[in-house]
Amino acid sequence: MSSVELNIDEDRNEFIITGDTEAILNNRRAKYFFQDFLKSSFLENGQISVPYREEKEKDNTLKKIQTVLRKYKIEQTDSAEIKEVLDHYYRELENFELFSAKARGIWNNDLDVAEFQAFKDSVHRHLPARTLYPKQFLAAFHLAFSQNSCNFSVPGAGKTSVVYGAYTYLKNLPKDNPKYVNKLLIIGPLSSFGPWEDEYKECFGREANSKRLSGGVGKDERENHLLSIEPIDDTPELTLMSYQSVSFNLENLRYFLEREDNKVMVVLDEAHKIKNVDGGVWAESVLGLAKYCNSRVVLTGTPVPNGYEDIYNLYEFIWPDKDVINFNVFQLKDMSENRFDPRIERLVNDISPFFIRIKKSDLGLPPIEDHEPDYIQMGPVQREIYDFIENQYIGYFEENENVLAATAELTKARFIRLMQAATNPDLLRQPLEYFFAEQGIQDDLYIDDSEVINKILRYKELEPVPKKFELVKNKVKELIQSNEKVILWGTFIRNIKNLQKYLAANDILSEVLIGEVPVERDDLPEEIITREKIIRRFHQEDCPFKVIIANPFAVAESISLHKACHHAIYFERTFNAANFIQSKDRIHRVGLEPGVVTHYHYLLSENSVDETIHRRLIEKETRMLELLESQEIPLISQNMNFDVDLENDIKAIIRDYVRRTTKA
Amino acid sequence: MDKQSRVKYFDKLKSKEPYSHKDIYYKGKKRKLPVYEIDLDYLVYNQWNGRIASLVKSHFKETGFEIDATDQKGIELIEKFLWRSNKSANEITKKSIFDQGQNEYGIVTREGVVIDGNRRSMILRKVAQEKKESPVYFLGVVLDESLDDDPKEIMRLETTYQMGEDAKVDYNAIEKYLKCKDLISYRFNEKEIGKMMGDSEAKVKEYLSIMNLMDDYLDKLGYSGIYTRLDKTEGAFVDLNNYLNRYTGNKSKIIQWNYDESDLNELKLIYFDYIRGIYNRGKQTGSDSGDSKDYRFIGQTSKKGSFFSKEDVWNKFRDSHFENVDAINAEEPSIEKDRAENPGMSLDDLLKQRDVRWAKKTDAQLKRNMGLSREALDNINKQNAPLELLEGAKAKLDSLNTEVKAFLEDEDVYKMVREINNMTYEFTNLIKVHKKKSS
Repeated sequence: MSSVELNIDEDRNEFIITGDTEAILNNRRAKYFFQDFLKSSFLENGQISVPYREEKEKDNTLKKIQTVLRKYKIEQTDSAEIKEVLDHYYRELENFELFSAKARGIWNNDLDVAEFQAFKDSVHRHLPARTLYPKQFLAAFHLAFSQNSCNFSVPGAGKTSVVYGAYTYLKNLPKDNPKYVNKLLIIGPLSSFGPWEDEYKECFGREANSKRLSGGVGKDERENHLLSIEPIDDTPELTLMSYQSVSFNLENLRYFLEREDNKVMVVLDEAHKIKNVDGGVWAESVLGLAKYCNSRVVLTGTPVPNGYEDIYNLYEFIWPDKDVINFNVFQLKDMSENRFDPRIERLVNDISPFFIRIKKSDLGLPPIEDHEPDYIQMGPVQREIYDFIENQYIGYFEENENVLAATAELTKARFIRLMQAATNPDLLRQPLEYFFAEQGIQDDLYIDDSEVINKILRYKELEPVPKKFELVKNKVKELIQSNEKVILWGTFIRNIKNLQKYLAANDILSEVLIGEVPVERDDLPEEIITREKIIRRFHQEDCPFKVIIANPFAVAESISLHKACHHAIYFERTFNAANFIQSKDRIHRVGLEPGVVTHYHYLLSENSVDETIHRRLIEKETRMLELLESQEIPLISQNMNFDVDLENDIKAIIRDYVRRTTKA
Repeated sequence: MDKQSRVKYFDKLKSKEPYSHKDIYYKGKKRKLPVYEIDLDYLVYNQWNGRIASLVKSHFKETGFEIDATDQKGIELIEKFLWRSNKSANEITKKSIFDQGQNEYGIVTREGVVIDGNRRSMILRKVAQEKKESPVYFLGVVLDESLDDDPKEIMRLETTYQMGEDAKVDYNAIEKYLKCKDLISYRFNEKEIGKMMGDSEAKVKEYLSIMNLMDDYLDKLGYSGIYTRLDKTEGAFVDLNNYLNRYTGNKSKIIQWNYDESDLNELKLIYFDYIRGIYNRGKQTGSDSGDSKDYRFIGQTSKKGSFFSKEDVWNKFRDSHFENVDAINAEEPSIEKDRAENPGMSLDDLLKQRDVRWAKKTDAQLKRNMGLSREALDNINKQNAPLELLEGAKAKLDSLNTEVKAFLEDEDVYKMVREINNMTYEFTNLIKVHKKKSS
């Protein structure tokens, strides 16, 4: 059958189509597409010239030509020259077909048993210090053989080990194998750097030769690493970098990735962070690097935090321009709004071969025990203060159905208090009413809080230790005596610090993990205590402190304590279920010895909002876990909003309050 | 009459006492310029007048000759075009001039070319013939410049008076687009053109984009430059331009699938076919006459969607269209052949007859395909109907004020609430029973 042949004339920036071009000219759809959309000229000798304006349009124009020829069933061949010039393009295309077939096979459980065994043997040999569990092996195999893929496993599934497993397999392939890699570039949040280095040691049994390029690293140092001309075997194997710094180092990164002997596997850790942050600059710069990577990996436990549009960039990274996702961002958004949208099935089908997801239930973790909460009776002054605030504020919400208006009113009162405190805290002893009167404002909505504020100001004298602290101390003591370590979770920094002092006064040493404790960086002086140092020390047998007090906002992601401790005590929580669940996962994750039970303890002040929060968190946790476990790609926002559900949380507070107060 | 003697006449005229004055925005500011009584015989029609541009351009395209506005044949032709450009408005103006004479002052150049007032001078002449008056005077400002001195400024003036806020008689829709294109070729930018025409820069850009589509349509038919073939089609091009803009760059969520430029190309080609079919099929009677606005279902951007918005509907619609219409196209004789067989017919008429013949041949196919696809689209839309209806009902209930007496104390309200309550209870049961059965 006759066909057209594609050629390229690089001097004139054009593709030339020769051969049976009548097939194009006689099809008005094809002809006008070439004429109107590709701005082609139809030459007298029957050839068609398709211009591309700039170098970077070349791939795209070629793709359009090929797509339209396929669409109109016009046979096409490529000249040897074009294949040579666009070698990169054709190789990617070939790889895409090859690797996605592989990925699809693995996904459909259609494994080459011998191949899988060989893979396992290689990983066993080269990852001496770590044994992957079966699902991890499968995930690593999937990654190694699809070369580019996503891992959407739940937190704690050991995504890092999966990457090291696949990496070490590829690294030990013969150097001339096209899949061979020898370096890892991790792009992720600063807090992930420590775990990547630690995990390396745990997998390979030796310290990682790693280089951090973000977090107080100077420009020169970054350049020296990325532009290094040292022998490849002498350069660090692991490069760690934050999303933010990618955009400032694009050129150098490109050089680094393209360096002759550098075969780099690029990992986007916590990849949901690249979506649309900073006006899309992060995403754009990271995506721009994709085609220079030897292998591309996307890691995130929450691929679609807001809607299906979130995965668009993730797939553009692993397979740029291959349209794995056959919808645009606007369509994806639209699909996220309707659970029954028939397109979702197609989307999931299209993306499935390219991701692996290990659910929590796949992990085979030993059991947990959620202990019944311990209830604490407040001290009389605390009770009085609490009741006052609750009466005033909650009563207020109750009367004002419009939660927002009520919140605005409260905010106003707080602002006034703030302004007063800025000059002279003594003003706080005065009722707000005075202020309104002075300003000539008639305000029926004010809250008379002066008396209570007086009590608050003297609270420390009246009740030096909150009752909850005492119970925390007792529980901690008990656990330490039975040789356990424990993590305490709180919300308010001052409470965390005060609790630390109080425990110290009772001979219980602890360390805190809160926002202000720095993440480890190369440039920090040795004596500075970092999060990583605290965690490392905590794991040691002779660790002087048996307690860590932490704030889930600061460390709910990316720290692991399960090897050191199996008890968590929650003395303070917010309605934020995502943080809560993540904080629980810190001590319940892969690597636990079989039979080890993980314990969670909850301390609640009786007749207070603590009870409401507890109940709401259980509700949210149940629903969220159900969802995460039931769907291949759980779309969280579609079903419920876990983080911010102010309306329902406030309603719950009011209901509980009404129940308590009418009971009395 | 030659240019020199005309210039001489006007120079002399300007030394006389003016008849009146007229405010004109000219050369950057508003000026009070004298109005004279000008002998009609010294005036020259402006054939580049935007009002008759499509006719003049089509004439040029057909004959290859430019009209000579100083020659009797040319004058007659221009008068014919001017009269044809808007007959009903011309009738009204004629009556007014017949009864009251010329009310609005015009503008002419130093050599007598009418910048503003072509139509009026044509009608003045007609009226004078009927009343058998001579000589006839045209009231107008005489500029200091001739066309050649400052074509850009004259062009600007002309546009302002013909297309701008002062556009007394609506132009044929097509002329507006042609004017924009002309002005661009005179190196005005979109902003300047907008100012002259009393439109925004964005609007001018839209006009230009629509003009491109119109040219594209004519080019594809082999009718390049025969703008008379665009008669009455403006709306369809405006729509198509809008759809293509909305869908280009793949940034619309209305379209439910991942189309690419080749799909937009097909959308355009199909649209062109429907334009050619619908505007040339003539008046039809009976139930299958079809609404001429039906073509909107092909690509419209409304929430209800269009054929193009649903992949399955579109694929079927498109395949059927090209399969059948391309077969008809293959049999259509070439323009050259038609011309050879109909040597006496003007090109304008011939092309029209070609279109009419084509429209007849394709009519059944276009209508049938349109009908089938509309049905398919309706069916899809109906699938979402329950949710939409319920959402609408809920929104209405939400808006009730439940605190007023009219709500709290009216027995009928109470009955209605009970009824709604019962209905929703039944709905819930229906769904529950169905779920049980199907599980």
